[in-house]
Amino acid sequence: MRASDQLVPALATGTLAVLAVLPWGLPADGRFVLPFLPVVAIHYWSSRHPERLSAAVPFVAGLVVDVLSNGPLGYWPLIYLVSYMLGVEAHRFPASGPAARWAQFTGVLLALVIAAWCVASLYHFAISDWRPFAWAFWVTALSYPAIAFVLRALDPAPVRPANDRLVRGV
Amino acid sequence: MSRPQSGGMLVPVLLFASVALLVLSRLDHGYIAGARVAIADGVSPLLRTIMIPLEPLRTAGWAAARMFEQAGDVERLNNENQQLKGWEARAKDLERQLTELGAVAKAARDVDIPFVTARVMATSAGPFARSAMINAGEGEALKAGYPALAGNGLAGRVAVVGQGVSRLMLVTDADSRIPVFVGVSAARAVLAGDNGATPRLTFLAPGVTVNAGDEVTTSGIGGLFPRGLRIGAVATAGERPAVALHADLDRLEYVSILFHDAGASDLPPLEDRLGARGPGAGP
Repeated sequence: MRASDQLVPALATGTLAVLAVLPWGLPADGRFVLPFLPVVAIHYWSSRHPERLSAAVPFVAGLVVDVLSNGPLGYWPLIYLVSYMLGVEAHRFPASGPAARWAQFTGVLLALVIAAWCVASLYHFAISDWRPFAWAFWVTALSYPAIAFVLRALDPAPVRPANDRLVRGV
Repeated sequence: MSRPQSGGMLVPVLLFASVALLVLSRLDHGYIAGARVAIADGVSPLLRTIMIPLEPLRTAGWAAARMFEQAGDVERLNNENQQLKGWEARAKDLERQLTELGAVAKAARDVDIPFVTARVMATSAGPFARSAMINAGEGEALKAGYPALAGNGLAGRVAVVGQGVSRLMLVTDADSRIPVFVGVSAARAVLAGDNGATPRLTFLAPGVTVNAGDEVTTSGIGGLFPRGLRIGAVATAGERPAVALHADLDRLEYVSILFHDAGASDLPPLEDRLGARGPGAGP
């Protein structure tokens, strides 16, 4: 495997993590969607090419988001690692076609957002406001096609449908 | 199909590390604060670099957001302008009277507080805190406790100072408590953040009436903030009145840090404090 095969997924995830903490002028509640955007990249690479994305990448990306957004250390690494694990599991059930991949991601994201809400509530020992999480879910789910399109353009070997090869002699 | 490898032992180890960090953060362990400042200092050059090519994109985003907001603002601004012209004449008259009275009473004038302007590099984006990271630190002689102003009002105060970056605790943060005066009667209260957009007035004296529109300013009690810094106006009255802030905390780009030493904590460097506590010391 070439070094660039691993570099591109790491750079894409890291870039989205840094973009998540830049001041974009969004309202405080609306900003909560930003740390979920790296989840798109983590899911994209771990569900298609898990061998190219080391688990250390989501961990470090989460740590950077925690530090720069002044959240508790460990929160986003935990969420990103769970996203990574779900992506690797999703690799066992490859979805064919963009719509199926989108539906698969939406299912994973729903589980992830619920997990994030549970961890936040546990951390505070109080029920967290669910509305920013719901907002983050919808915006991230709707952002998936655009971000996945860009990631596919960066992908050195995008996954093709399984029936695009002709087999001689059968 | 063979099952893909997900990193062997790496994933469980990193999961354990994440949970351990989360627990230590919850316990507010001293090593977490040290690690946070060290990582922020290390990442800040990357952040400064990445902000340069992204500046046009950020500017376009801000402009688009403002365009939507300003669509119906012209009429409101015209009305406000008329009112402000009336207030301007009255303010000039009051300023003249104040100068005359000050001269008669030989009152000492407030000393102007020096300040430094810093750029906001990152903002919080989660359910845990309302804070911002700025590109000024020990090199600019900042100290924890210095007040931070943004545009028309108080934005927060310096919470943590690193080499080249500092962390601001915004007035909306759940841990923020600021002694304030409310209205023309200067009723005492404490402005408490709750991670929402509008902090609340607490500890109002019994019988004190607060009305929507009353100005809220720092009282200076306790010495953390100088007296008279504008914060906002009462938005909704009630048992815990909400305060609409003058500073637009959603669009923080530059802040002015006041060198107000009465409220600053002149603590020794973080490494010395951690060293003094010894390894394994509790929070």
